[in-house]
Amino acid sequence: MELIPILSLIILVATISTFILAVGAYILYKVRERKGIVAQAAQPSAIPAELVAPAPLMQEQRIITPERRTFEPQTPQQEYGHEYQRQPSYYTPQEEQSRGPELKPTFVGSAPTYDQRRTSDNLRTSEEERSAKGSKKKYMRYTNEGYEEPTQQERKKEDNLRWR
Amino acid sequence: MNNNNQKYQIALDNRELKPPKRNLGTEKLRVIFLSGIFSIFLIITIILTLPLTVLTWSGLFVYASIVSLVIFLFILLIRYFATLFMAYFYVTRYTVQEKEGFYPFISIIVPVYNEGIVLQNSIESLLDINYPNYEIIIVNDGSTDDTASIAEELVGHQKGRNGLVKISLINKPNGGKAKALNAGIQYSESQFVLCMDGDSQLTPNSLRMGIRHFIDPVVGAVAGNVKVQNRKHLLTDLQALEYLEGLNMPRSSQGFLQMVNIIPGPIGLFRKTALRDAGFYSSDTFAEDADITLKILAQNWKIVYEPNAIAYTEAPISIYQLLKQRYRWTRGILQAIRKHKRHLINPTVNFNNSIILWQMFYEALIWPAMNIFVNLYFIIVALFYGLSSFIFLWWIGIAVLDLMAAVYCIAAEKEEFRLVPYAIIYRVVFILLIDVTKAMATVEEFLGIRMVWGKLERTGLGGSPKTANNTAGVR
Repeated sequence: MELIPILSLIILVATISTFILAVGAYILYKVRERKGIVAQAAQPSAIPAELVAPAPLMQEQRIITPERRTFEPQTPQQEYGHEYQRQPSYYTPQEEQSRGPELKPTFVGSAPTYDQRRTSDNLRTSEEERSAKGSKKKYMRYTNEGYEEPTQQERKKEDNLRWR
Repeated sequence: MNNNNQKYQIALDNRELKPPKRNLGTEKLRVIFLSGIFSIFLIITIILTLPLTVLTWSGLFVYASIVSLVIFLFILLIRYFATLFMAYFYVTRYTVQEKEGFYPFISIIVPVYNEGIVLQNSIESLLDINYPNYEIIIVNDGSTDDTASIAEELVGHQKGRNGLVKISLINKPNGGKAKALNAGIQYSESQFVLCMDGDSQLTPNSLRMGIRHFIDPVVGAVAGNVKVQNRKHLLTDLQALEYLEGLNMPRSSQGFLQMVNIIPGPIGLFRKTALRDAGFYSSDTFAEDADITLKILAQNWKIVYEPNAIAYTEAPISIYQLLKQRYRWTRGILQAIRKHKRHLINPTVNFNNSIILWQMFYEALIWPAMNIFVNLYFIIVALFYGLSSFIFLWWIGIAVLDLMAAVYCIAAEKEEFRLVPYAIIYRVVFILLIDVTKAMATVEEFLGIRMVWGKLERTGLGGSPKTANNTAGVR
């Protein structure tokens, strides 16, 4: 008997069997999975969680640098409908390493200390204060008595001068 | 639990980037209308032009089938050779390209859901990583088994290959892999994160090899190389070959263009800035890895492939589990494509993304349909016309191509040569099985039938990292 008809028959049977097997497995899958479908619950904007972390090592405590930058919690707000073409923000590895993360979990229970998480809540406050102070100074006039907040009238005068 | 460990109550940001709401009814009506119009146009054209040709109605079907077959064969050959050549170019460039040492701090995020059986092995593999500067964050996504207690035992400063490694644990309510990964990313302080699966095991050089690509500031993510851990079984060996030939080789060719279309779930390294630009992981698709990849590419970041950043994963050992996994993958990829369809339709938005999306569309939709059609055609021809030798000749051609690709992939990755003979049945049995599932999943996705995530059952048979390496027989 020739070899090609035998091999053809084997391939034919294998192909048909595969089809039957695939359709059978699919039906089995659908039957089993039908039970598991449940309605999706609404997702809250924040969820409580528990963090288990080891106590800090001495080495870790020394790593903390006051220059570390912190960021306000920021979540993606953009919508797909308003997508626009943009360039990614590229940084050198050194710049990248000095940058802080964007999203931060909020500690609502017994929060770890400054040393433990290496996040700088204190730094954040002081930075915010510093930036607030800085922004305040920006709009103050320096006189002999020091920084003074300009009155509405003075600001108006300045504007008039500028646009005249 | 280690006495030095401390527990804190934290609140995690659960918000996600939401796509605009879709009007499913209108979408379906539009599809029906457009396909109806197209079909009517085609039928009218055939009715009007057929008398002008020498073909009869039966002759038309034979002619159409042969033409379709030739087109399929042509695309198949182009696809094979284009992938092989680009993969070869990438490996060649990769081999000669030197990259400096770059060792920033990395957070490894391990999301786990009922992975108690494999978690210990995964963490052991992570502690054996040859990298000086990293931490491990386990995110327990509301497991119902003993995962939480096993993970708690692991928390602490554990002895790693290059010193102590900090392991933290986040216990959160169940919300899916995407949310678990986002929780870990929120908690991590590093600028680079490695996202993996709870059952994956990383090889010692994976971090060192993967992270060096980030020296290039345009690289937003690095896709690793996934290999099957639990081998020596017909189905898992076939999957091992599929991972080499069907996943890693195309990924290598995409790496040549710096446009990898899927960063695999078991190992993916990310620049946090790129993740932030992409809006982090979303849980509105069943393939969060495909979705995040497309989002990163849409923001003009480059994604490369690192063949030496290897993760071993446990493959399904039964046909039912395998088809369940592939069903989820297909629907997830289609959901991700649908989410980014703007790039599919309009190449001026982001040309690179359009190419990637069309390729994904082709692989997920057109290719399986063509493969099923061809096999059905040969079955019909053999059963009703007695031309059974056609199917044999077809199989010979495909088997030769698959053998050639298998030899190349196995040689390039220094893998087990015993996997080569599986190429003989790879296309005719294994891929056909997968393609039928893909076709079913595609139909269901377009009909909008609801589905569940479908957790795979873990056996833990892969063993420890050392066993994994031995099992795979690599290097």
